[in-house]
Formats: sequence, structure tokens, C-alpha cells
Amino acid sequence: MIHTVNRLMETKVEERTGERVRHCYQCKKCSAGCPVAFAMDLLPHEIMKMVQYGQEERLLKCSTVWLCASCETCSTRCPNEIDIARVMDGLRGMSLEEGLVAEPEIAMFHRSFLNGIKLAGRTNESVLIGQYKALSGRLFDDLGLGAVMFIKGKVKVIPRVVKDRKSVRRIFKETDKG
Amino acid sequence: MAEKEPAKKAAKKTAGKKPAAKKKPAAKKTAGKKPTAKKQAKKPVAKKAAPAAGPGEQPVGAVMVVGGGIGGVQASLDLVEMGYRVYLVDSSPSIGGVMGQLDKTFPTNDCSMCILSPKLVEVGSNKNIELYMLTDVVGLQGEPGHFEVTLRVRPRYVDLEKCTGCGICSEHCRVKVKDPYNADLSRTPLIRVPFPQAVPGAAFIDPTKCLYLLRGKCGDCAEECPAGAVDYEDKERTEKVEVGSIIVSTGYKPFDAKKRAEYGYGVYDNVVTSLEFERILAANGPTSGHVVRRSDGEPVKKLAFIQCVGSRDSTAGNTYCSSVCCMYATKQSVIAKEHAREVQPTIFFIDMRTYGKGFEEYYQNAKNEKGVRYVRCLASYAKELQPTRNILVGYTDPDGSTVEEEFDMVVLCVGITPDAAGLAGVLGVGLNDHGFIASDDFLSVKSSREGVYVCGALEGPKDIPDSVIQASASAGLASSRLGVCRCELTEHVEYPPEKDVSGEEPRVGAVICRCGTNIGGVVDVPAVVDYAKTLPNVAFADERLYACSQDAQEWIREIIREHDLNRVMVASCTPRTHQPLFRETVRSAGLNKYLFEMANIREHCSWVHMDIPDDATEKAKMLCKMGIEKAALLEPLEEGVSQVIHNAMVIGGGGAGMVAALQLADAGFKTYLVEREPELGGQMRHIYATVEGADVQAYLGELESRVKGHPDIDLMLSSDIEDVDGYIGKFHTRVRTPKGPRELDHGVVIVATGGAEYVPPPGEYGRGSDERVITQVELEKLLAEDPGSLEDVRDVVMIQCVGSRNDEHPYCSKICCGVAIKNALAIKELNPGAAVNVCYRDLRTYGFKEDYYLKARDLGVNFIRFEKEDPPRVDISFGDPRVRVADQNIRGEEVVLNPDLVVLSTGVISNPGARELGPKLKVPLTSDGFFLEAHVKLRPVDFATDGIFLAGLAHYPKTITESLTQAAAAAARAESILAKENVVTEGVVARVDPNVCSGCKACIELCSYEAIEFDAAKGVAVVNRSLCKGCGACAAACPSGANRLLGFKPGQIIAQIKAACGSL
Amino acid sequence: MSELRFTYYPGCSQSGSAEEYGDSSEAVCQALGIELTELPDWSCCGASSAHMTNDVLSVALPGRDLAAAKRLGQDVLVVCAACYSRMKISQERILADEELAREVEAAIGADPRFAGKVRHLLDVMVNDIGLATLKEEVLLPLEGLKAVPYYGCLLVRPPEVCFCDSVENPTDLDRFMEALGVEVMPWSFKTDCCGGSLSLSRTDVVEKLVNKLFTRAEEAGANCIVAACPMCVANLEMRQRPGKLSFKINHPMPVLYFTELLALAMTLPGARKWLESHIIDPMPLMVQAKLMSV
Repeated sequence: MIHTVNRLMETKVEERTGERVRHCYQCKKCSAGCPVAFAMDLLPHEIMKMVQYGQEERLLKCSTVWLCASCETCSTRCPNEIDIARVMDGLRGMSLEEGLVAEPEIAMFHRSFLNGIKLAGRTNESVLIGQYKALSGRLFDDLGLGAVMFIKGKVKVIPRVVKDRKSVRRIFKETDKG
Repeated sequence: MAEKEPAKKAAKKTAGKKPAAKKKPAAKKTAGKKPTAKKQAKKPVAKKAAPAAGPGEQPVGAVMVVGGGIGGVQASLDLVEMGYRVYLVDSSPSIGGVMGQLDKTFPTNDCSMCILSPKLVEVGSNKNIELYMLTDVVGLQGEPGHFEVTLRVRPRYVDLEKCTGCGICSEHCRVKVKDPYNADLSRTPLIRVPFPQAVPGAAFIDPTKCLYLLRGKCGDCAEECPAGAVDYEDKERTEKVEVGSIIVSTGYKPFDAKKRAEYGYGVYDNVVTSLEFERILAANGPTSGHVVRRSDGEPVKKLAFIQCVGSRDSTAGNTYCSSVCCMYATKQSVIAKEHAREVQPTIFFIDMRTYGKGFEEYYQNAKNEKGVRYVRCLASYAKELQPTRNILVGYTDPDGSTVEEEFDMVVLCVGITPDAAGLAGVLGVGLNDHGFIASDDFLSVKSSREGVYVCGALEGPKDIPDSVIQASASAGLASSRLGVCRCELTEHVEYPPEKDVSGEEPRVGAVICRCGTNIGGVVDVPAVVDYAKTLPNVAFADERLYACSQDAQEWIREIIREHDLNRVMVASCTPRTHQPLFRETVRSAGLNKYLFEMANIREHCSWVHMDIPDDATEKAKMLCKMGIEKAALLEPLEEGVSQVIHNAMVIGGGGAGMVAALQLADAGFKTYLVEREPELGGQMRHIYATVEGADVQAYLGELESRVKGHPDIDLMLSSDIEDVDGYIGKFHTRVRTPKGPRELDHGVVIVATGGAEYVPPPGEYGRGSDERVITQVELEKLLAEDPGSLEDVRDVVMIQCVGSRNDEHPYCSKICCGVAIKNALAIKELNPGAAVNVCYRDLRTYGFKEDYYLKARDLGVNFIRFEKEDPPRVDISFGDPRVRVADQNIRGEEVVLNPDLVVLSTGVISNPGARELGPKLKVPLTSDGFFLEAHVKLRPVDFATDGIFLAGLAHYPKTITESLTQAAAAAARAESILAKENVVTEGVVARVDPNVCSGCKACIELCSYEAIEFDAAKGVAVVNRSLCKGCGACAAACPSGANRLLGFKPGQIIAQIKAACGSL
Repeated sequence: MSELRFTYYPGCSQSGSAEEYGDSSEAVCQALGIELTELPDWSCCGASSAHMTNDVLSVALPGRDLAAAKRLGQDVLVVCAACYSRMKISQERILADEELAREVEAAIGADPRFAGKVRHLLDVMVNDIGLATLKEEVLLPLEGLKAVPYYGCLLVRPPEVCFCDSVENPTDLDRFMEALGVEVMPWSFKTDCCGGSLSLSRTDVVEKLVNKLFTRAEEAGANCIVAACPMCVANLEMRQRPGKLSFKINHPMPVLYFTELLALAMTLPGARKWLESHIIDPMPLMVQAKLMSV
């Protein structure tokens, strides 16, 4: 049940993403074409409506914003020119800031990924996987696959790094708002 | 000949303007002419010097109509009836437009070509309409009343005067190209008649790939043409034509479905556009009406329609709604299922916009009775599955699951897009934001340039009835400044003298029509012809592919002459649509037109016995025999002629009534305007602005003062129609006025009695229990007159469909969505911080009104969709109103709103007075109490009773602009009668033999038309033939056999019965 | 042809799991006379992780590389679709939004307003080298390969920044493969998302997407999928589950880089090594198609 309807959330989303969610007329085309919709708790068109209803907490706590794969199929086909994927980016950012992440493993993966860049300036997949596994506790997933990759020479033991790593860390520092 | 005559007359009118220039080419054209070839002047016939007409000079009594679709055709026919010469210009080789390509039309499921073709033939055979085919307008000079239009006529390469349309050239053509008539789904020779019923019914050469024209090779068609009609030397030429007004009606182009690439049009064979599917459904289409896949010809079972392809779509550049797709998809679904029962249609849609007369009922019937499945979701994609070539469609279910479903074929419901820029530039008329011709706020047929009028989809997306209304309205306005030169440039139809057949042995000609495959696909037509030849009195029998085509009319005239026929029997379709055409043909061949009989071997035979062709053939033979037996006994009948009283009666003084009255009075006809209320204006008094923002009250004030000050308008307020007598041309009406009764004579009646607002009973949505529950009309009044009272409103809830689309009022009131958005925008303007939530079922902002829906969303108006079964609940028991509504867009989750104003969007209901007026005028009403027009599709302002016309809310709920435009159309239709000195009435009427009549009066009581009176002096019944509709009820009831219906005498009927029973 | 000179941005994967892609790309460029200069001290584009969590960071990370590219002046060549996408979007946004440009400039301490072109190698192959030239270079026509082209998301969306000829029905890769003699199977799932960014974190979701793609590819009669993105290839190879899930594929299906095919068709020396390094072994297919011996 939706008890209090307000437009605060919509304003926030527009400020953050420039997208006018209120243009949505609920054709549901975004949901119909979303490859990950089957795993989402709120469908993309429902996200649009919930933003209009000002359902901030539900939006920031939903799995949808994390499951969104940023494939941009919805944005490309939306008849109202709403960049839905961008709205998802905005909500995901808000969700992180508020600490309401519904899919911690996905968030952890992204954190591991960015940590890698922060340290080395480049992404080293074995370092990334190692760090993610340590963080997520999913140590034994994909063990077989890892073995295959090792044999195939896909696991690089010596990470390649950027020489001027300082400049990379500076970027992280300068863009870190949280 | 047609094209010389006006030239002469025109020369007379514009004396001294070098008439000599026209003599020579005209003289050259006379040899070997035949009526079908008289059109499309090849040489500059109507050419005149540059207009340079001074303001005092008399205007030109001719109108140019650009575009030969249904709009242009209707406008042309109206104009010639009003007494003007018409130049009908079309860029294609024949007239007919898109309507000629449609299979059936909604909501009546009429065969499109069957109702259009008689009109095409009428245009083709009218001496006062001159056709310019393959012609573009390239210049316009002058001013209203005196335009000079420059035309560029492209070469046809076939001499219209010589071509008989026999088709031999096509058989010998070596190059085949995609056939535009079949939406490119089939191939056709370069030289061809565009389609069987084309007018003109002559061939043309598509020069793009012609071997001879490009490379000087081939030349077969010229060699094979028995008439020597092929002319490779034909050249483009320029002509100048002088006219008083211009009507443009060049239609639209369908949205290019490739632009919505996610549906794979042009990539996957089994994804087609709706226009292509229309051809697939058509009996004369590429698959003969079989619903089969393009990839493999397999029958289609699962069929999907995807709505809004190129409509309501900012990304595709078209933000407006195309207005017609919801209905045509529903129609195509129903028809597809009729063609093959195993077809399972699914329509994917956003909002179902079935807002027109009879549309909602059609939709509900399709959904609930016909098995059409509706899914409220715009499909995201259509993808071909490689092994099966089925099409996978992705959508979302109401329960929130995403579904991929396979279909055999997918139809993309492509929108209407403008094709106006070029023509608008030449004519100097403005375009609107969407690229359609910009039109007046109140009369949608006025363009930005005076004297240039617009109708049909060129002005904005619309369906056929709305196009026809605009066509008549534009004809009426085109006439408005030309009245003084009415009939100056027209010529009367001269028939050959009627042949006296009395005493002659009957010589019947029997024509059996194939109607493409409609009849020919089931009935063994040659066998029927052979059988007819064996029957007594048959002097000639043969078949035709389409007996209604223009060349067939010429052929019928020829066989009458050649075989000295004195009766004709055509076995084809229904006399309802086609009998007038054939009668006209017979008459033009010198026979009395009642020496014609029709047998219906389509509706009564091939269509209903599709599965048993052998039996159908036997039945067709029997029906032909019946027709022939009766034909042999036919007698010539006389038609009545009655003088027209040149006064008009307009009933209803609302906006529509006033516009109609003003138009007729301006045209010089004395007009009585009767209004029940003490003041003018009707419902218009309650409206302050249109959705588009035009000032209604200012316009109303203007109309009122013009009406009151018009010398030719006799206004009666607080007055009532007591009763109406008489018939077309000669009505007699008693009106009760405050000053006493008045008796008025007039030639026509326009019914513009308006509608009423639905009044919710106390308790419906809290109505009556709290002053914060109001209607949209009340809100609009507050917004206009006391906006201060709304300044503190912070939360408004609007509820749609109050009194519409329910069991009591099953129709859609059409205007409420627009009104709600208009008022929501006004509230937002007044107080941008106010919340507005609109609870709706389907948002029906058709056409350009969609812009305002978008604007409302942009300003933050929120829309909540509810279902009929689960409407919003308004609760006022806790002090402040509380609205609970299940939002179906988010799986029915309940939304609780705490508004300080609840606004009910109450529907439009019929005027209760209509139920009294209908019987007085002897005109019918729908079950909803609105007046019922003669034909929903093609006669939207006429009643079946001649001389009575209809406009405004009395017809159906509609916007002000639509009402006023319809009023202009009704006035134009009325004018076409008032412009004549006499009207001719039907020859099939009852007649009472005074020597036999016993004076029992049984017939008098029975007559629904009050056409029979009792002559007390002679003690016998007398039929007023002008009122008699020829229904025959009286003749059947007459106990003494004194009353006979002419054309249906007992002997004639018994002959038919014998023919039927004899062959059993 | 040797007129083609680029600043080369290799991208992280090409020195990691997609070494075969990086190496084959460099090899075919060399063979076709495309001159590459590696962007000095390039850094990671941030990929989807930056994009999904920190908007400014997602512009600033590629901005550092764009600034370096600006100093060199030449157009930039990218082989990874993800790097290409991030780089182009970052460039577009920096050039279109001066406020953002200044913010990025402050963060990286250099001018990121690179006005040259950022190109993907497939774009260069199809539109600069040209299909006619490619056909001439083919020594071993790749008959026997029945391939479906897989564009994924980042080569086509958002269409404003991408080079492909259509966002829904692109044909660039199709035409490229046809030039090499590959039998390209009509396929409707060229641009469906494989869920790459969730590959490690939501394997369950990704397996469904990936196996659907393989099922549809098998239905289309393909014996391999060809792609131009290391993220897609890694995901498609890692999450392929023959015989499992509701979308059932029956046999492992190789996933190849378009550059490997070109190298093979040009009979460049490294081809065998690159093909052998795939998780899904393409060698049985190559043998079966008589393109390689055992």
C-alpha cells in the first residue's frame, strides 16, 4: 500500500540524472525487454511509478537497481526518451550513499574492482577475483573454472601496473563524494 | 464535352481574357470520345489569363480539390451538388486513396471498396468534375474567389480517350514491379490499370523501369493494344486553372516501420505493417484474403498486433496519437478470425482508444465475444526464431512476469505521418508543430490562408467518418464566397431521350459479376452465365470481373445498344449500395432506370455458402433466374419532381446550431433557428477554453451576436418543435414560441439539439455528501470565474469515466480525458505545487491531444490506472476526503490519496428531448439516445430520411471543434439541396387505385412515414409520393388489392417465386 | 593503407584473460599496415563498476587516458567494447558539458578535452580497411564455420556514440565475417545482453542469459559465436552450461574473437596459439572445418 504520495524523490532523481521520470506513461516496454527482469523485485516500469509516488525507501532497497546490467535496451526503446538505465545508475548511487544495498555481493564486486584500479591503475583479473572472493566469502565458487583458466594461461600472476599510480589515486580522491 | 463546356462558359464570364487560346486543343479532342474518357483534360482547357481579379469582380464558380481519396471525393461530390465545377487533382493515376486499399471498415465491417466504389464511379461519370491524374500542384497565385493554380501533369503514356481498360497491355508487359496497390506485397506489370475499380479505369505506364521509355527497346504494349492507346511520346505539361476556392485532402503516409527496428520490419518476413495486413485480408489482395505467412504461405494461427508503432513516441519523432490504430487493429483481428476460425489474435497496446461512435461496443464485443486477446503492454521486440520463422514477442504480464511468446505473424500498427510540407509550401499555408496542415481552433477545415481549406488526415490523424465530415465542411466553406456564381460553370446532365419499350418483347441482358474472388472464388460464374443464356427472354448474358467498375458501365451501355436490350439484370452484390449506380447506367443508355433488376449473389450466396461452392453455384443460378423473370415484367416508372423551398430549419441553438444557421444564412438562405432554452449557446456556455487553449466564450459571443444580427436568421428562443410534416424540399413545421405558434415552410432540417452532462446520483464517488466532490464542469467554472477559491488547493484527485463505459452508458464519452487534462493543466498553472492525481482506465487523448497529456505529465500530474471492476473509493467519513485506488500499473497495489478536491469527469449523455424529437422527424436513435445517421462511415451527417441532417452532440459526444466542423458539414449537405430548384423523388412508391380502394384506412395506420392520407370526398386513400419510402407495408396490408407498390407488383413477385420454386 | 595510424589503448583484459584478443588484434593490425602507438602509461577505464557506482569517476578514469591521447594528437584505437564505450561516452560528455569537463580536469590534473576520434577496431576494419581489401587478404577462406555474430550491448548502445549501422539489427560484424568466407547464420539475438557485469556476483542470473543465447545460436544452426568484446567472450565461455538449465544447449560452443578469424584467414602465425587458449576449446571445430590439423 502506498500511503504518502510526494514528488520529492522525482526531484532528487532528476537533479542527479537529468531524467524526467514523470514523462513515463506506463507502456511497460522497458520491463518487457529487460533481460534481467525475471530476477528483479520491482520491474523497471514499476521503478518509474514508484519514483513518481515518492517511494524512496522501497526504491533504494530494491534489488532491481543492482541487477540492472546497464545493457541500455530499455533506454534505447523508451518512447518517452527516458534514459531508464541512467535512472537506475542514479538510484544505485543513492542506495550506496544511504547504505540500503539490497544486493551486497554485487556492490562488493564493484568495490573490489575499483579498489584494484585504485591500487594498480589497471585491472588484474586474478587480483580482482581474489579480492572479491575474500570480501564476499564465496571462496569456493568457480573453483573448477579457475583451474581451467590457470591451465589456459589466463591467470596472470604478475600484475601489470600504471607507473604514475599517484595520478590514478588522485582521481579517486577527487571524485569520492561519500 | 465536359472539359470544353466550362471553358466556353468561363470565357463568357471572364470576357476578353483570350478565349481563343482554348479553341484549338479542345477541337482536337472530340474525335472518338467516350464518356469514360472524357476526364483528365490533356490540353490546357481551363487555362485562362492571370487572375488579376479586382475585388469587385465576380468570383470563379469552380473549386479545385487536391487529393482524390475519400475526403477529396466527398468534397467534390458535395461541390457539384452545390452548383460548382470541380477540378479534382491527384498525383496518382487514379482516385480512391487509402480507403480503396482497405478490406473492411470499422465499426460496421462494411467492405471498404464496396461502399467507396459507387462514389468513385459517380465522380468519374459526373460531367462537372474534371479529373487531373498524375498531377501535382506547383503554383498558386491570386486571392480567394480568384485563384490561379498551376498544375504539372505528368505523362500517362496511355491515351485516356482510347484506352478501354481491357488489360491486354498488362499481359504483354515484360517488366514486373512491386504493386503499390497491394502495399508492395505482390508484383504487377509496369503498364496496368491501377486496380480493378479504378477511376479513371484506364491503364498507365510506370516509367521508372519501362524498357521502351528508358532504352527504346520492347514496345510490346503499344503493338498489342487493340485501341492504339499507348503513346510513348506523351510529355509532361503545365496547365493553369482558375478557381474560386481550393480544398486540399492529400492524406498521409504511413509511418516507416523500419524506424522502430526492434520489431524487425524489413528483416523478418513474418513481420508486416497494418496496411500490408489489410491487403492480406482483402479478397482482391495478394493472398486472396487468406491469412497466411509471408515466409512460407502457411496459415496463421497465432497473430500479434503491436500498437503505437511510430505513434505516441518521442523517440520516433511523432508524439501525437494516430487516432485510428486501436480500432483498425481490433477490426483486423475480428476480420482475420472471420476468415479463419483458428486464428488467435492478440493485441499489445498501451491505452485502448476506442472513443468514437460504436467503437467501445465494438472493442468490448471483440474482447468478450469474438475471442480477441488484449495485452496491456507495449511489446519490446519482435524477433524471428530461426528454425521455425515464428516471431518471438516480449511483453510483461499484469502479474509482473516477463513473457516471451511465439507468434506465426506479427502486425505492426503503423501510425499516420504527415505528408504536407511540399503542398503547404506551394499553397502558402502553415503547418502545425507535427507537420500537418495547421487549422483553425473552431472550424478545423480552415487553413491559415483564406480560401484554402483542408480535410482528412492531411489536417491530422483521423478516421474515415471524420474525414468525410471535414470534406463536406470544407465544401461548405469553399462555397461561402462563391454563392453568387453558383451554377455558372456547371452543365446539366443531359440524358438521351427515354426509349419507349411498351409493346416490345422483353430483351433482358444478364450481367454476372465475379466481384474479384468475392463471388468468383466460390460460385462457378461461367456456369451461371451459360445457364442464364438458356432462360427465356434473355437476349444476352456475360460475366464481368467487377460489374461496378467504370469501364463496366460503359460496357453495359454498349451491350444495351448492341443487343437492343430493353431490360437489364445484374447479379452481383446488394442493391442498397449499387442499385443507384446501375440504374444511372441504364438510364444513360436511353432506358427508363427502373427497367433494371438486381440479384444478390454475394451477400446472399457466395459469402454465406463459402464452404459449399457447388450448392452456391446452383443457388446463384436460381437467384439469377428470379431476377431475370422479374426483369422481363418490369415497367418504366416515373419519378416525382418537387420544388425546393429555399429556407432552412435548424433545431438547436448551441454552437453547432449557430454555425450551421450562419453558414446557410451567409449562403443566402433564409434560416429558422429554434432553441428550447431562453438563451443561445447550449453546452458551449459551460466551456471556457479548449484543451488547445482557444477562448470559447469569446467565440461564443461572436457567434451569438452574428446570429442575432443576421438578416436571414429568424431566431426563436424558448421555443419548441410541435410537429414536422412534409419531405425533402418541402417541410412544414409548427413551432411553439413565447409569442404564440408559428407555421414554417422550409426545404431542409438540421438537427443540432446537443447533449447533456451525466449527473452522478448522490453517493456515487461521494457526490452530494461533500462540497469538495465536484464535477469537471464545476471545476472549469471555478477556474474561469473564481480562481482565487482554488489557490489554496494542494491536492486534487480526478476520477475518469464517471457515467461512461459502464453498464448503463456503455459508450466512451470521448471528451472527458481531454477535459481532465485541460483542467489539470489549469490547476498546475494556478498553483504549480498542487498535486494532481488522475484516476483513469484508458487515457484517450487521441490525435494532437496527446501533446497535452505529455505536458500534464511534464508538469507532474500523476496518472493512476484503475479497472472497471475495481474503481476508486471515495471516503469522506473521516472529515477530509480520502481516495483509495488500486493502481493496476503496479500490480494493483493500493494507493491512498488525501485530496482536498475530488473532481468527477462526468460523461456526455444524449439530450432527453431527442426521444421526443426523433419520432416527430421520423428519424431513428441509437440505444444510447443519440441520433443515428444514415451510414456511420460515409454519411455521418445525413439521416436516412432525405433532407434532414445532423451535427454536434446530438450525434455523439465530441469536442467543440468537432461539433462546429460537423455543423459546417451538415450545412453544406443542406446547401446542396437548397441550391437546387427541384428535387427528384423515387419512382418505387405505392399507388392506390381509387376504383378499387374500399377506404378501410388500414394502410394509413400502417404507414410509418405518414405518407398516406384519406380523401374524405372520394372515400379513398391517397399516397403522397414525395413522402413514400417504398417500403411496401401498405401494399401488403391492403385487403382489396387496391394498393400496389410500383416495381413490386404481385405479378412481378409471383414470377420470382415461381422461378425459385420451379427450379427446386 | 599504411596511412592508418592510431594511438592504441590496449585495455586491461587484453593483458589478462583476453590476451589472445589483444595479441591477435595487434597482429592483424600489423599485417594490414595499421600503425599502432601504445598510449603511454594508460590506466583502466573503470568499466561498468565505475559507471554503476560513481558517475564522475566513470568519466574521469577514461578522462585520464583521453588527456594522454590529446597530447599525442592521433585518433585512438580500442579493441575492448567496454573500454570503447566508456571512452566514447566519457569523451562525449566532456566535450558537451564544460562544467563536467572542468571537474574532470581538476580531478586528473590534465586537459581531457580530446577532440580526435575514438575508434573500435571492428569499425576500422569494416569502414577504413574495407571489406574488398579484407577479401583480398584472405588466403584461407573460413568455409565450414557457421557463425552467428554477437555484438552484445556496448558495440551498439547507446546508439548515439556507437558506430554500428543499426542499434537493433547491426550488420558490421556479419559483413566482416562474410568477407572472410564464414557462413553467417541469420540470427535475431545479436544484441541481447549476456549479463557480463553480473558474471561473478550473480552467476545464477547470468547463466540463464548466456545459455539462452547459446540455445538460440544452436537453433540458428551456428557452430560458433563470434564477438568483438572480451567481457562478452569471457562471460559466454565461463557461464556456458551444456546440458543444464531450462535453455538447454547440447554441446559446448566455441566463442571466438573476430580478430582471431582474420588472423586465421590471413594464415598469420599466432592463430593456433590464440585459439588454443580459449576456455571452450575451438580446436575440434577447426579440425572439423578443415581449417587446422590436429
